[in-house]
This record gives sequence, C-alpha cells and structure tokens, in this order.
Amino acid sequence: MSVLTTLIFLPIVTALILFLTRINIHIVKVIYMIVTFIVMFLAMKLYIHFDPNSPMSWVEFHPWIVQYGIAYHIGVDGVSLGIVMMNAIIMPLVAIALYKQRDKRGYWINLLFVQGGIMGAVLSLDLMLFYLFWEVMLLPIFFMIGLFGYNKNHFFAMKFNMYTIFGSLMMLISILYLAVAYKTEFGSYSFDLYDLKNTHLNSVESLFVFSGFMVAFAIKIPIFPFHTWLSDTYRSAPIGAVIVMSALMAKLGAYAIWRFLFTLLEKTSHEVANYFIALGLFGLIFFGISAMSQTHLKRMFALSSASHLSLIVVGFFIYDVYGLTGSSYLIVAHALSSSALFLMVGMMYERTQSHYLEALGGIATVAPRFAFFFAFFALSIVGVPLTAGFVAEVLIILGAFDYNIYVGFITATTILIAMLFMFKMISSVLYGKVTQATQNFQDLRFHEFIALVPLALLVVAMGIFPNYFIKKIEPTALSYTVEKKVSIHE
Amino acid sequence: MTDAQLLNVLLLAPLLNALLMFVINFSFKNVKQFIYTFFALLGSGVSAIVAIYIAFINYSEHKLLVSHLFTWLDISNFSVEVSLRADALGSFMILFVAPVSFLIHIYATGYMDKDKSYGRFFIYFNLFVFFMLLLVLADNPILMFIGWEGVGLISYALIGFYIEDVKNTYAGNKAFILNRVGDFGFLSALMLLFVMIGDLGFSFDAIFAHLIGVDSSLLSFIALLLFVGAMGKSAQIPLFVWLPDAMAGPTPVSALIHAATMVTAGVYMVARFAPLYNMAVDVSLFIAYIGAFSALFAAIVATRQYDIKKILAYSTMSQLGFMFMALGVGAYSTALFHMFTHAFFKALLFMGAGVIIVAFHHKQDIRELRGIRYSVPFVFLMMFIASLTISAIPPFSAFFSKDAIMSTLFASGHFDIFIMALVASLLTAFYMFRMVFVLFFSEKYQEVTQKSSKTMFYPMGILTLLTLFSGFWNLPEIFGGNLNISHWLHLADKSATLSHETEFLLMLGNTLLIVGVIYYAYKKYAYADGIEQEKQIDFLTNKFYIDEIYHVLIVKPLGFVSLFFDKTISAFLIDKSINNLAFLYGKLGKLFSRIENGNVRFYALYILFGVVFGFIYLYLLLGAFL
Repeated sequence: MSVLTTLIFLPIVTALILFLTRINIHIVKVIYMIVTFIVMFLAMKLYIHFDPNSPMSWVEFHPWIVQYGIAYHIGVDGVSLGIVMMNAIIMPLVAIALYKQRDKRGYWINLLFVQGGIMGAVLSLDLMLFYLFWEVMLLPIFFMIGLFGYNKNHFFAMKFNMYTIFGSLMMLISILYLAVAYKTEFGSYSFDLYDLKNTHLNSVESLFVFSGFMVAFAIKIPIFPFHTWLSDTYRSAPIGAVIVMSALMAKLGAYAIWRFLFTLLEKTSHEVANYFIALGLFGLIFFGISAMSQTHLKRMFALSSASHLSLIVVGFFIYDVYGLTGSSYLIVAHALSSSALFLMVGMMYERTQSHYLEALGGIATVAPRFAFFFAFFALSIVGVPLTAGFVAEVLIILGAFDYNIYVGFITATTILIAMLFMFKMISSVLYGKVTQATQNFQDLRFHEFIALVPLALLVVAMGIFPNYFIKKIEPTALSYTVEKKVSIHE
Repeated sequence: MTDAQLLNVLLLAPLLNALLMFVINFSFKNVKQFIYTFFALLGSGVSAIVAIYIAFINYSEHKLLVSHLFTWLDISNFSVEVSLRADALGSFMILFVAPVSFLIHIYATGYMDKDKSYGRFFIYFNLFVFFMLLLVLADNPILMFIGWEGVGLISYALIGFYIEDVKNTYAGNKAFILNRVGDFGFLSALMLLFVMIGDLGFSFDAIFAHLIGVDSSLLSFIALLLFVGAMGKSAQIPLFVWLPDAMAGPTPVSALIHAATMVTAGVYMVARFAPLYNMAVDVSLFIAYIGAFSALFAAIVATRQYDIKKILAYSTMSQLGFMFMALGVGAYSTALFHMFTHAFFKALLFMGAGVIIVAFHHKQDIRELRGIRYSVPFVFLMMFIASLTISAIPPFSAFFSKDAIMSTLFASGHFDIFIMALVASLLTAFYMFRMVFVLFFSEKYQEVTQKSSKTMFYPMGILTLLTLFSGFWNLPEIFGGNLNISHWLHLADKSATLSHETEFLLMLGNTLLIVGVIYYAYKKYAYADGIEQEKQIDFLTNKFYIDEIYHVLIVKPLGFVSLFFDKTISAFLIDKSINNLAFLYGKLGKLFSRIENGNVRFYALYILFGVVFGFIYLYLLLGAFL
C-alpha cells in the first residue's frame, strides 16, 4: 500500500476497529498514540522525499465505480502538503498534551476518525471522493461537541451540523451538475478533477456551480456572513474538536477554493475574485474588531481565527505567486499557533475551571513557564518578526500591493487587527494580581511541555528560515500563476 | 578574523547569551545572580568591543564590511538576504549603540540587584542589543524592518516589566500598538517600493540605484509612509503618547531604549533613506515641521511636569524633534551628530534619575525630592553637567551638535522652523534647570535611605566624560575643526553654509539667551519656593489632553464598533434570522402534524376535499375542450 493511502486509512480503520471492540480506555490512548505517531513519521518521510517540482506527487488512480466514472484518485502537491503535515503533527501533540484530561474512548476514536477524514479530503483529486471525505470528517466533530461539549452543546452541535450539511448539499448539487454537463459533452460520466476541468459551461451555469461550491467552503472557513455558527460552536466544543476545526478543517475550506474552484471554474473564479477579496478583507477587519469585546477566551480566539482565515482567502483570491505562497504558509503558521493556543486554553480551563477573562489574571507570577508559552503563541498570532506568521503576512501583503494598491493598504491592516485584542488579553490573563481562580495555578507539566515545544520550535524555525519551507510550496504556486497569465492572454 | 566573522560576532554575541540565559532561566529556579551578570555582560561587552573595532576600521580605512549569512526568502522576484553591512552610517551607529548598551548593562546590574526577575531582565536586555544591531546593520529594508519590530517588541516587554501591576503592562501595550501603527506605514512603504522597483533587487544599494524609475508623486507618498514609521518609533506628533507612559519600566530601560538607542531608530531610518528624501523635498519639509512642532510641544509640556522621569521623557521627545528638523532641511549628518551626543547625555541623565529614585524610596516627584545635593554629590555633579550640555552651553558636546542644527536651520531659510527651534531650545534650558534647581538647590536636607552600589557610578563616570568631550570630534570650521563625523558619514547632505560672522553671532546670541533663561530659572526655583507657587495648569500637566482626545476619538468608538459588530450585526441581524428560518421549519412541522391527527372523520373530510377539487379540475380541463 502506498504512503498516501496509509495516511488516510490507517487512522480510519483503526478508529473503526476501536469503535467495534470494547477495549480499556488506557489501551485506546496507547493505540491512538501509536497510530498518530506512525502517521506523523510517514508524513515526515513524505515531506523529506517530496519533490516540489513535479506538479502532483504520489498519484494513485484506481477505478472505483466505473459506470459513473468515480475513481480513487489521490495525490499531493506543495499546497496540500502543508495541511497534510499539520494534520500529522498536531494530532499526536494534542494527545500528549491532553491525555490526562480526557477519559472517554469516544473522544480519541473520533479524533482518529477525523484525522483520516481530513487526510482524505486534502488528498482527493476526484470530486466524489472529496465529497465523501468532506462529509466523513464532519460527523466525528458533531459527536464530539454533542457528547463531550460544554454549555448548550446539543443545540450548538445540531446548529453546526445543519449549517455544514446545508453547505455540503449545495456542493453536491454543483458536483452532480458538473458531472452531467460532462456527460452531455463527452458522452461518459467522470468525477475526476482533471476531466471535469474541460467541461464547457456558459457563464450563468458556471456562476451557479461556483456558488454551490462556495457556500460549502464559505461555511466551513467561515467567510462573512456565514460565520454565526462559529463562536458558539467553538465555545461549546471540547478542545480537541476546536483544534481540529480551527487548525485543520477551516484551512481545508480555504484550500478547497484554490484546489477545486480555481481548477474547475478558472474563468469565473477570476471574474468574481474582486468580490471575494473585498469580502475577505471585510471579514479580516470585522472579525478582528468583533473579537475585541469578547470576554470568553474561546470565543475570542474563534473570531481571531476567522479573521486570519479571511486573510488566507484574500491571499488565494489574489492568486499571484506571493498571495498563494503566503496563504499556504499562513495555513501552516496559523495552524501551529492556534492549535497551541487552544491547547493552552484547555490547560487553563482544567486548572481554573474558567474561560472568562475577568476570572483570570496574574498567571505569569505563579506559572512563568506557562505564561511564556502562552505569550509566545499569542504574539505569533499577532505576527511578530521571527515567527512564521510574520513571513506569511508579509507575503500576502506583498501580493495584495501587487494586485492593487488600495487592496494592499487594507490587507496591511492585518498587522494592526490581531493586536487590538491580543495585547489586552495577554495583560488580563497573564499579568496583574492573581485571582481566586489562578492562585493555585500549576505550571506546565512535563507532558504538556513536550507537546508545546515542537510547535514553538516550528513556529520559530519557519520564521527564521522560511526559505527552506517555502521552497516546497513555491514551484506549485508558481506553476499555477504562470498558467493564469497564459490563460488571460488567450 | 575576517570582516564577515567580525560582523557575525558583533550581532550574534548578544543573541547567544540571551538564549543561554533563557535556557538557564527556564530550566532552573534559584539561579545565582552572578551567572546572569556574567552572561549579560559577556554578550553586550563582546559586541561593544567589536563594534568599536569595526567603527575604527571603517573610520580609518573607509572600508565597507559585509557579511552574508543566509537567504531569508527567495520567491519569484522577491528575494531577501540576511546580510549585514557596516558602511560609514552603520559603523557610526554601532559605535555608540553597542558601547552605550554595554555601559547601561553594567549600570543595570547594580540597579536591578536582588530583583526577583533579574534573569528575565537581562534576557530582554541582551535581545534588545541584538535587534538594535540588526536594525542598524541590515543591508535591506526587510531585514531592517525585522530589527525594527524586534526592538519594539522588547520595548513592550520591558515597559511592562513589573507585571504585578497590570497598569504597567497597559503602558507596554500602548507603546507596542502605537509603534505598530507606525510600522503599518513603514511596511506599506516597503511593499510599494518593492512593487515598483523590487524586481531589480531589494537591497538598499539596489533601491537607491533605481529610485529614478519611480513616479515622483508616488515617491513622495512612499517617503511619507516611511516617515509614519519613524513617527511611531521616535515618538513624534501625533504618535508620541506612548513615550511618557513608557517610563513605567525600570530606569535602565528608559535610559537605554527610550532615550539613547531605540527611539533614535526613526532618525537613523530617515538618514538611511536620505537618497529617497532628497528626491521628495516636500515630504522632507513636512518632516521638519513635524519635528519643530514636536520639539516645541514636548518642551512646553515638560515645563509643568513633576515626575523626574516624565520630564526626561518629554525632553527626549523634544530633542528628537530637533534631529528631525535637521533631517527635514537635509542636514543628515548634523542630525546624526546630535543623536550621537544625545545618547550620552540623555543616558547619563536617566542614570542619575535612577540613582536618585533608588536612593530615596522610589520617590519620583521632584517636589518631594528637594534638597538632595549633599546626600548624592556625585549625582548632582553629573546631572548638572548633563543639564548644561543639553542646554547647549559651550564647550560641552551638545553645544556643538545643537548649534550645528540651529545654524543649518537658519541657513535653510525656513525662519518659522528656526524660531520654533529657538523657543524650544530656550524652554529646554528652562525645564532642565527647573528640575536641577528644585532637586539640588534648597535649604532642606534629605538622608539617603538606600545606598546605591558602586557599579552604577562607573558607567556614569564614563558617560560624563563622553558628554563633556565627544563634541570635539565634529568641531566645526569656525573653531578650527574639520567636521570629522560629517566627512566620515559622507551622506547626501544638502545644507547651505553660513558665513563665519553670521554663524558666530548666532552662536553668541543663542548662548546668551540660554544663560539668561538659566538665570531666570535660578531666581525662580533655587532656594525659593517657585515650584510650590507654580500655578497648576492642567492643560499642560495633562499634555494638552491628547491622551483623552485619543481615547474619545479612537479607543471608545472602536469599543462601540466592536459591540455593534458582535451583538447587532452577527448575533441579531444574521444569526437570529438564520435561527428563525430554522425554527420556522419546526413550526411548519407542528402545523402539519395537527392535520395528521388520527381522526377518521378528518381523513374523510380530506378525501372529500380531494374529490371535490379533482372534479373541479376535471371540469375545467374538459370545459376547455368542450
């Protein structure tokens, strides 16, 4: 079996087996650990051997439902590699950091399942396959919120589910429409990305198909005004699910815009790019300013994530080499920082039983190591130099200025936006007098430390030596932008 | 050692020591203080010695030192190298940045003695030296920007150093946020520059070589945006409000970061981009006016401050205004010369203030600190010298540098700026000697409560010598000198020259006026209760209510907008309508479930309706045929 297939199905199959057998929770955790470490190891190997110059690597193609042209077609390129790596690296670290907190089998089984689902969705090059995995990764999150969440979790689990399924159905309609259009034009069904690319749709049709896809992606990311499920879901969801949603699934939405829409409906995507850049920039500022008045940490970070994801969307729609590379880089950078921050929020909740800013304070005095990491990751979200976020933001801003000078200026406000709430948050959580909740705050435990260090090191390494990492992305980005220039010429 | 190695050692020594101290601080509790002292002084000491050596090589041999470390980014046309270069300007900067940092490190080992966060303090301090040197030695603006943001970050951490009081950290937040507003301008300018000419290379040399290809109005715009960055970092109107609050940090921090080095980065940046500013003359003039307003404003506010550190903070802002005036009229090397002397005397003043604060129970109000001349005689001597210097009394160093600024302003023909500068310099003498006379000239006597350690005095002594004599290095022709520094820097100055008679008269008049002002201050404050009789002008004490205005205009509205976005738009407008849409389905379901109630009579009724409508339909259908 090849690497990519193992990456997808090892977690899924393990999850299914664990689900069907009744094994002791301790053994479940050990198995989770082993499987995620194998996945991480394989992904590392993949990364090292990855050849950035080939357009698509490790391609696998097996016909599946032949009469409808559905195939098992997967492959990886420079942009999807980032999400694969994040998925592989973050999952075991989550377990290391939280393994004492969560003693429910379902928690870990669902996490394993979602890891496989995300891998599948990122690697799919067949639309039916993509749709399948897109749905597969939704269910575990639904269960996690419903079973292990906090206040009013059933309502929010349902809301999240309805929202996402609504989007997915719109996407399904678009996929089917495309497939039928392909059939009428070429005489046989196909769901393959590179076949459907050749379908000719008139401008109205392609706009509808585009909207169908876009609704699904916009909800997942979320883009304004599809964001209202976000902050409540994040608040109610358990930390593991929040990390998966903010660090991986949301990024997947942005990635899918680029992978599917810009491939399938190139012309339409470029035509509507302006509107989505505007929407993204609006979201960047809107979410950032909304976050300022939040008193609940998870809600604040939810909006902060949304703000950065809007920036990622802007980068993808700008669609030049800087924007694409910058967005791909920000996907990874933000995944690292936000997952670490959410992990630490989880640790904080375990120690203080509070998510509210006013109940916290003075942590730096009682737990300096915890405070160091918390401040570090918060600052890396703000994008201070020598962290990965800085590189990504500079690249996106550069792309934006190249695109249009006004767009450039509004994009550059990103260096101001996150700051508006982050510094106040750091002050009120870490500094000042200790409160009742934080007076016995325990400093980082060894296993928590072990989980955070790789994330911190990666953030710094990606900030100081970005060239090494970007060389894996750049050729992919470059090849797409060169195509764009040619196609506009035509 | 080769040139490249020298530069690398210079830059990396503080970084490595900071990392080492960080690892020690993170891993062990109760580390002996001398370990941190050792590493802190090692890091900054090595860089100080190497910096002096490099500056010496550059000064004597006019040799450009370069070191290429690695490629930071290389995407398509955008390539940024991490390389260092010490040209004349860079060498001049490190010549005072690194040694002054080292002296303040020594001072701080005394000042921070037995502080429970001793280690943390020196980690930040060494990191600061690293970022500052990176800023100065960067060979391309992106790398410079990294150093620029880095020093801002360290400044944030050090202003809020005493974290138990959340107010201190708010001051730090304010500093970082306002600095970042400036950085927004800086970064935008760089990006615009890149979009215009970046594909031809993005090092300083490449940029300046291709500036000619940029549209002139756009060039002015870029120059303006760059200056926004300088406004933030160098605390000029309107982004200055963070500097007085920054005094919440420990005094060595104020001496190093908020007086001698970081705040002068804006001046350095404008001087570095001199070729650009020479092409954007209108923006240069704007800079001069901003500098003049800032100098005057800060000097006026300083006359009614009572906190010893706040007085010095406004004084820093005012002196920076002088430098920007000089930059604005194109006298780059003059501005840098004043920055050079300013670093010494202002650091000295802050160190003196630090000794006083430690010695007298952390009191900072000059009214409560009266009559301390005989309890701290050395401090009195040094601060007296420094005050004479900042007031530009000959032959101390700032006399030469400030006089050079005054005469260039006069020669440039912008008399409005000149008048503002003159008034500001007279006010400088006034508020400085107000402070000195109130502190030291009184019949009262206060006993020292805590003796300062000797290590704090040695660096002050060295700085006193530098304050006294560093001016002679750039002696103007009128005194038989040959402007060594200006010749060395060799910047694109465009200063007009005055005849020696005019210059001499100007100097004389200036000095006489200043002496007059000092005499007036003496009459009013020394051995008198002028300070108690001062009318409280709230307008001045509260710096024209600028903070409050900003609060009403920016901070409050942002809070409202945030609530409006979150509660009204997101929660009410969008979420509620979507929820209602979902609930509507539920209600419809209930409605329909009422129809399906299991009563046969109802079902019979439905059948009846169905049959009737069916017949009506058939009738209409057939009727059409009939």
